[in-house]
Amino acid sequence: MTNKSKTFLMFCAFSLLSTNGHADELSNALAKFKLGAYQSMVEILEKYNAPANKLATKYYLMGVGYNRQQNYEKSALAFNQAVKFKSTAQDIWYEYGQAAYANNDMRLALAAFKKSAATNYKLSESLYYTAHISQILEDYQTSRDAYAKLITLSGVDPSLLQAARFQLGEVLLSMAESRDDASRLVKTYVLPQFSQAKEIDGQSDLAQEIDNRIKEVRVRYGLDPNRLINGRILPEKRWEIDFNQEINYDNNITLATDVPTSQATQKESYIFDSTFNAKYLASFKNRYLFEPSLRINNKKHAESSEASVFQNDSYDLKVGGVFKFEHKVKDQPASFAIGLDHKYIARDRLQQKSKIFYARSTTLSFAETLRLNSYGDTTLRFKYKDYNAYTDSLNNTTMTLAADQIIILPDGTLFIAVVNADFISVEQERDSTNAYLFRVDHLRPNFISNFTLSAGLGITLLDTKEQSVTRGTEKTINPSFKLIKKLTNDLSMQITYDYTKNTSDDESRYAYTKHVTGLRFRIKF
Amino acid sequence: MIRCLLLMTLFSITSLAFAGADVAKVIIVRGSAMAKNPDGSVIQIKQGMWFKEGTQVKTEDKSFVKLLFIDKSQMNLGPNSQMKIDTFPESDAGIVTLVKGQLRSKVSKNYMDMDKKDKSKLFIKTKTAAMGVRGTDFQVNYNPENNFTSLVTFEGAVAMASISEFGLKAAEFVDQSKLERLVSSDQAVTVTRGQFSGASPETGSATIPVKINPMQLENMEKDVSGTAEAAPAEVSAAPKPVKSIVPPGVNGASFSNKAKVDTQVGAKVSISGYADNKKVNTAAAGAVVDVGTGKLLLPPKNAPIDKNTGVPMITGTAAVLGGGGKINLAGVKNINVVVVDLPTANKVAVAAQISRGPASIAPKDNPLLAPKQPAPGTTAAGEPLVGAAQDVLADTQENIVDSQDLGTGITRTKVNFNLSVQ
Repeated sequence: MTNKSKTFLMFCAFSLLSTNGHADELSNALAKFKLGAYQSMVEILEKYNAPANKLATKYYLMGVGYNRQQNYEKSALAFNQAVKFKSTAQDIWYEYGQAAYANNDMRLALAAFKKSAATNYKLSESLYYTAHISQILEDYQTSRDAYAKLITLSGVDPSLLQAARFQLGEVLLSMAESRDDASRLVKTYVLPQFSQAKEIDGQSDLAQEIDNRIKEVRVRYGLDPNRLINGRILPEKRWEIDFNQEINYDNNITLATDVPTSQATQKESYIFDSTFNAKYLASFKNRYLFEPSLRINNKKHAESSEASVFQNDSYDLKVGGVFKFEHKVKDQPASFAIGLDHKYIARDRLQQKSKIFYARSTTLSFAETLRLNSYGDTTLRFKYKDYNAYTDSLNNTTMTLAADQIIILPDGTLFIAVVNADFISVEQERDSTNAYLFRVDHLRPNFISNFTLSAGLGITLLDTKEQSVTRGTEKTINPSFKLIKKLTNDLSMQITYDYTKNTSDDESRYAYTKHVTGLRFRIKF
Repeated sequence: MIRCLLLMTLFSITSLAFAGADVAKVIIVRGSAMAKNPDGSVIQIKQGMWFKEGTQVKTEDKSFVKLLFIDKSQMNLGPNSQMKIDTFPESDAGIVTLVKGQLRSKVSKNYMDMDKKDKSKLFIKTKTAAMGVRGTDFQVNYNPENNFTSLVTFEGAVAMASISEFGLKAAEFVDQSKLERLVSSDQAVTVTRGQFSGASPETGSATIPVKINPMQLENMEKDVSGTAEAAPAEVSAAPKPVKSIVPPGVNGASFSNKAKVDTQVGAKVSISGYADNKKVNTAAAGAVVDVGTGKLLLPPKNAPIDKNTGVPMITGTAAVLGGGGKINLAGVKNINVVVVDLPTANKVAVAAQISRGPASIAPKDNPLLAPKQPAPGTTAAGEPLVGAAQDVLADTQENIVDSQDLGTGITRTKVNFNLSVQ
């Protein structure tokens, strides 16, 4: 064997050995990668003295390893080296782009994703990155073109398509904002994009966000049909139809006194209370509202053997309408309302298990709702009611003055304070009374297991006027508790408890206590 | 008769010999550590010492002891920890009790080659859990303050069962057969590489294993002594806050890349990092776990996926990785995670009967990530509370009017009308 041959053989053997050595180190790094041990992977690669033909692979792997370790600065540097050494990795621009993006190096990321898109690697995602980064860099035309190209691709994941179309709307909005005819452009180009985006999947999380964005943009450009002249927003759904079913247990239907000498006795019963409500809200010129309404209510007592109980079985029918004038007070939204309603009441007054005419009433009301303070809305009311019963002795008129205030606390809970004065003039003068109600309710959302708590305390002072010598001023204390839960979009339930204690100077006839517990379901259509 | 006597004598001598035999040697000591010998004497631990069965070992803060057992298994008792070598026979599985702290075990592969492959080769027990070791590398932590036992496996498999669930005390599990029955029961779970399970009185049984964050796994795996204070400097010294690789509002999974490393290396490496385990809590996959409390930091919805390990990624993981598998709670507020306690996460897994492959990602509608807290002033259904207030006001008004009109309600003026009617 010649010296030349020996040298050649030695060179071959060395090459083979060194090749195996490189393969081992890269394989070790790959094995660490597959174990998810990215730190160990880059440690191996950092120490690896790679030959020229393995440098691109070494740096590519290092880039991937650092990327998974979220060390994006080093990752970008490694990918940069891999590119220099002409890495052939199919996904190098995508990985490089992600590292640069996470590192907030947007121009580098944009260039990388453009190249990734050009090589058709994860094309839809690469286009999205291109569009999204261009949007951040305020290069709206590039952004628009990239989103538009993405949308035209076939087989794009619907969630990505929805995001792209939504963002395309945002880009068009940014482009329209600087134009004089921005409102027209928003209406013609931006809102349709948003709507189309929402239609892709109306149930997605993003759909909710798009919905909110549509509302914001409409408000900003005066395009919201539900926005009133004073800024108040009307619900999109103008019809409101609901059905309420209550089942209450009342331990003292007859309002019998607690004193042992009382002639009346306490009767208890379940009460089934069903109510149907329907109303429609019509808006004119974004300033005038008209709301006609209908209410039908039926009460049925389960105790059918006791006349003093089932005589309270009744139904009533109420039709009415409220006209509202929307305006501003001290630059805050306010609303003036005039209402008129008529009610027909039938009751089993003859204790014959048959409901017959009992009374009818007509009520005219005026109310002003305004924001006098930062806590919430204040409403002032005046009502006049004319009540005609089956017998003249019960005929009466009631004049009501009332005010309520909503107080929203910073912690998200809420108080409602109500003051209500009823001046009732009964035809049989001795029955005339003045009733003064003071009531506070507290609403606390998510009190227990997504239930909203409504706890209230009402105190009524009843001036018995001509009977005051015997009855004095009667006091009624009425604490109540409700737990309200929305079961579905349309169905809600309430668990209720009311305690009432009435005190009177004539204890033997007028003092009583009662407990009412109930369950209420409300379904909206 | 003589033969019998001879046999008995021989047996007694053998037993005595083994009872007094050295079973573990101290090969590394750092800081301060003490040992309590079976005869009650307490000594400062020094390198080269041998321990017998019944010896208790205790370490102080920033200290650890590495023991090499007769079968070449290694155990690292971490800082502020205490363990007892209950028994370590040559022909049967050893039993070690972790009284508190952290124990990292690397069981000898030879030891694993004993006759019955599916039988535990070593038992480690705490006050609330027992573990039958069928793998080679794992870490057990026991926190006596909340009676929480955690297990993370780095290699092979470890069967874990809750002791408290059986209404028994750890002291009652003194022989291998009882422990084997426990870790082979239906209530036991098998924890394979990269997985975590915990047991405490709150969790009931040992929890369905969770595949943890790969970065945390690697940190724990490297920190054999359990004395590392925080994440490696390489990671924690990142000069800038870490941002997500995924644009906001898009599906993180579809933007995540499956790196083409195989084709670049040109070699077939068939190592699968994660042994197949059919019973896995996928809803909590990718969580960073706090081995001291069982708290889980879950990646947010739409987090990018590490397509190599199959788990969602937490952006900025390094900020929360403490030493020895504990969470750096100060860092939690800086990253986007959902904090869930282990019993809650386990209830979801049990209810869903999640039994998917370990490479699968969290379910699309992950119940652990789903419920957003309602904004202040809104009901649970997300509706403004003012709407509910309007209903209350309407009810109040209606109550007044109805009671006046009918005299049948609960309110104020009806007494007049009732009296008039009657």
